[in-house]
Formats: sequence, structure tokens, C-alpha cells
Amino acid sequence: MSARQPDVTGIIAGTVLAGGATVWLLNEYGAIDTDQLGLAAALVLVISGIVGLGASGRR
Amino acid sequence: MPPVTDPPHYRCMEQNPSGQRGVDTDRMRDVQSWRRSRSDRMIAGVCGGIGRALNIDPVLIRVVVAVLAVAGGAGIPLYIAAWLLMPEEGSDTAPAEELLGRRARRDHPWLWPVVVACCIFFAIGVSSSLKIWPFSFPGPLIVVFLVWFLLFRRKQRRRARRHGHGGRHGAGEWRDGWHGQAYGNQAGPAQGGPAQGGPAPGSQPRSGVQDTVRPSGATAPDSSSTSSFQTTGGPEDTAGPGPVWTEDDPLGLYVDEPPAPGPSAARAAVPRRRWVKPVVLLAAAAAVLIASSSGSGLPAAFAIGLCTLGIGMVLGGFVGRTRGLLPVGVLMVGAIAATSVFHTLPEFADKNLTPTDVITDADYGIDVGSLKLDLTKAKFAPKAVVHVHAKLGEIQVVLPPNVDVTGTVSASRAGSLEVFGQKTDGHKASVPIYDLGADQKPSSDTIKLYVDVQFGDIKVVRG
Repeated sequence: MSARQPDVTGIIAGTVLAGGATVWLLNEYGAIDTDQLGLAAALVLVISGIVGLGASGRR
Repeated sequence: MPPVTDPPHYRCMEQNPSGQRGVDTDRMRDVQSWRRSRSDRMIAGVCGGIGRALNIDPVLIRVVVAVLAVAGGAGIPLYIAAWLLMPEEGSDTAPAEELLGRRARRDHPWLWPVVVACCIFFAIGVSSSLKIWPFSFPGPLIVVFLVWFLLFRRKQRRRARRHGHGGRHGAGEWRDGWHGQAYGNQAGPAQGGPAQGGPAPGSQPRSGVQDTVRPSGATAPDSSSTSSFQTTGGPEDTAGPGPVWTEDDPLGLYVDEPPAPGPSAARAAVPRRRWVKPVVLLAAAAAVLIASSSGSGLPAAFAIGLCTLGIGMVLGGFVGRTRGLLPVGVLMVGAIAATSVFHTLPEFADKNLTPTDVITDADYGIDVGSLKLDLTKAKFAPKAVVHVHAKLGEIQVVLPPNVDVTGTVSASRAGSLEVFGQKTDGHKASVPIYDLGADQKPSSDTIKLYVDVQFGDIKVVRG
């Protein structure tokens, strides 16, 4: 186990920001339809939660 | 003669005995002590038990659950989850534990937040599929939940710090905040008895768990109190020692390991790396510069920078503190929104225009504000075209009574439209126009009208 404690808040916030920006870019360039934005946003949040849980487990 | 104490389940049945009016917030956080009611029940006693635990009329709880069940359906899984996770009065074992054995621990700190999140997603799914609520973007609800959850955890952390607790297997914040009452109260009768600060009525016994808040007269905790395992020697110890979920180990992955040294020592030994934030900031700024210089638009450049910032926060979070970069991320989100709507500095104005000359091809527009265009006094050349546009605000167009109109009215990003009394709204809303005027006959005066707003309202009426 790592002795250095991860910054879970920063990791979750970073995941949300990166995911949101990625979804925005994909929508802007036509890879994701506007109708699918809700699902994509929910997926980003779920992934953020999973990453946060994983980071918490390393503490 | 040993002091006579009530069996644990009797104490469980006597919930919220304080006699105070209003919601008992301490009891609200101590979910583990909630019990389904045997006497006040319509189905499984969930609402009766919650009402008794929170010092609220159970009818109110039933109304809330019924409303949640009808509006989106979240009340149904919530009720079932509570049924499975709440023991009945007189029992210390939830139905889920009876089904799955002791491996299913209802005292896990993530359990109820996960249950609530699942219910919200269920409600969103049901309401979206049945079109009960006209939204397809569940972001606001999830954000509200996340904010609540983060605030809840921060409050508990502050509380733990105020009490001088902290540590991995020691005085965890969860025990102090969420579980602390139940755990602390159960330690009383085993060591000091009720007369020496025994359990408050309504507390929940729990085997093998030691609390950090001891009643007066009880033996002070020794170094073993930092362990995950502990036996109290009281009548509640029949199940033997068990692992404790702590805030530092919410998944219970390390309960079998010997206790680690205190967090202060660990943190002192491994200092945080201060170069993480500047490096992430520089990487994000470089990404914005490279993207904008390579021909991408400003919004895309900021989005690429934001993506870089987020990835940097994730990776940097494992070696240092990156939460301080969150305001930078919020600023970049604002920059994306602003640059995608306004390509130059916006002009704020409220315009009230009444043209009187001959219109052949006219263009009226504002950046931000309201625009009222009265065309009732204008003259129109054959095949006249009128463009009206705004980026953010409100547009009202007043047309002469008998001019034939064709064209389009649209909110290119989001807004509401009202064209001759016909209303529509939403994202990328658009309405075609074909109107012959009050006489309903084709006439020589014909115009093409194109009205567009990025964010805002449009109203087209006859004068």
C-alpha cells in the first residue's frame, strides 16, 4: 500500500472535468449526438465515482 | 449483584426517547440504529420505524415515499432497500444479512449513499422512459446528490477533528459521525453499567466494535483501540470480534492487516510534492496555446486545455494535492461557454426599432439584451428579406396585419419560441413560418423572415 495518500477530491474533480471536456469536444465534432449528452454525462459521473472509490481504497 | 440491563434489542426498540420536538439530526445520521416498526406498519414497518427514529410523524414519511414512488418511482426501490437493510424491532439482523450471512454488512459507510444514488438513477431512467418529467439530462439531480454527499462527509471530518480523532483504524470519522453514537453506547454496559454512563436509550448494540467516545467511568482506551478488532466482554459479544469500516478504509480492504502507524507520522515521512500543481497548470496552458495556434477555435482550445487539466489533476492527485486546481477548471468551463457564444466582446443593449423606409434586405441584431422590431410602418420591396438575431436575450417582432410571411424562427442553442400564438421551447428549437396574414389570402407584400437567438426568447406577433 502506498504511504502517500491520494487526493481523492482532486482526482474526482479531475475526472469530472476531463470527462466533461471530452464529451463537449465529441459533441462539438459530431461524434456524440445532443440526445446522447445525458447518458454521456451520467457515464462520466459514474466513472468519476468508480475512480474516487478506487483512490479511496489506496489510502 | 450485577446491574440489571435491558437486552440490546429492547434498547433498539426505544428509539428517539429524548422527547424533543422536531427532527433528531443525530439520529438521522445514525442510520444503523433505525429499526422497522412492529406496531406501526402498513407493509413492512419501514416508514413507521423511520418516523419514530427521526421524531417525525410516520404519515409524513409515507406521503414522501408515496410521492417518490409516483413521481419517478424512486420510492419503490428506496422502500425495498430500507426493508432489506433495516432490522426489525427486537432484532439486530437485517433481512439482507439473513439472506447473505454476515458478509453483508449494513454498517458500511458507502452503503446508504450508494442506495440513494441507485434510487436516483432508477427514477431518472423511469421518468425518462415514461416521459413523466420532460428532462433528458440528469446532471442537476446528480450534482445535487454529489454536493450533498461531499458536504456531509466534510461535516463529519470537521467533527472528528474537533474531537481530536483521526487515524486509519483508530478513531475514524465515520465512527464518530455516523456510527459513533451506536458504537459508543454499546460499550457502556459491558464495562461500566448504566449507572456509570451507560448507553443512551435507543442505542444499537454492535458486536466487536469499540468506540472512541467512552462513557464516564469506563476504562480509558489503550493502544489496542487503534485496532480493527476488539472484544468488549459484554453480553453483546456473542458474535465475536468483527472488522470495522473506517473512513480511511471504506471498502474494508485492509481490516485484516495490523494497524498502520498514525497518519501524522506517515504524512510527515512522505511530504507532498509541491511541484504537481504548477506542472499541471503549465501543461493545461500549453495545451490551450498549441490547440489555438493549430487552428482550432477558442472553445475547442479551452476544452482541450480543460481535458489536459483534468487528466493532470487525476494523475497528480496520486502524488500530491490537486484539488486547488478546481477553480481553474471552473474558469475554463466559463471560458468555453463564453467563447462558444461570443466570438468578440459582447455588446449589451436594449433596442426598440421601428423602420419606416423600404426594406429589401435588412439585418437587425444585438449581442445581449432585448430587441423589439416593429415592422408595421415599414414598406417592403418584392421578395424582401429580414434577418433578426441575438446571442443572448429576447426578440420581439411585430408584423403588419396582412403581409405574407415565410421563413424560420429558431433558438439555435436553447430558448422558447412563440410564433403567432404557437409556443415551443427547448434545445435547438425551430419553427417554420408560413402565414398569409389576417385576410388569409396571398398578397403582393411578401417577406422572408429569419429570426434566431442562441439563448433566449423569441416572440412573433401581428400588429
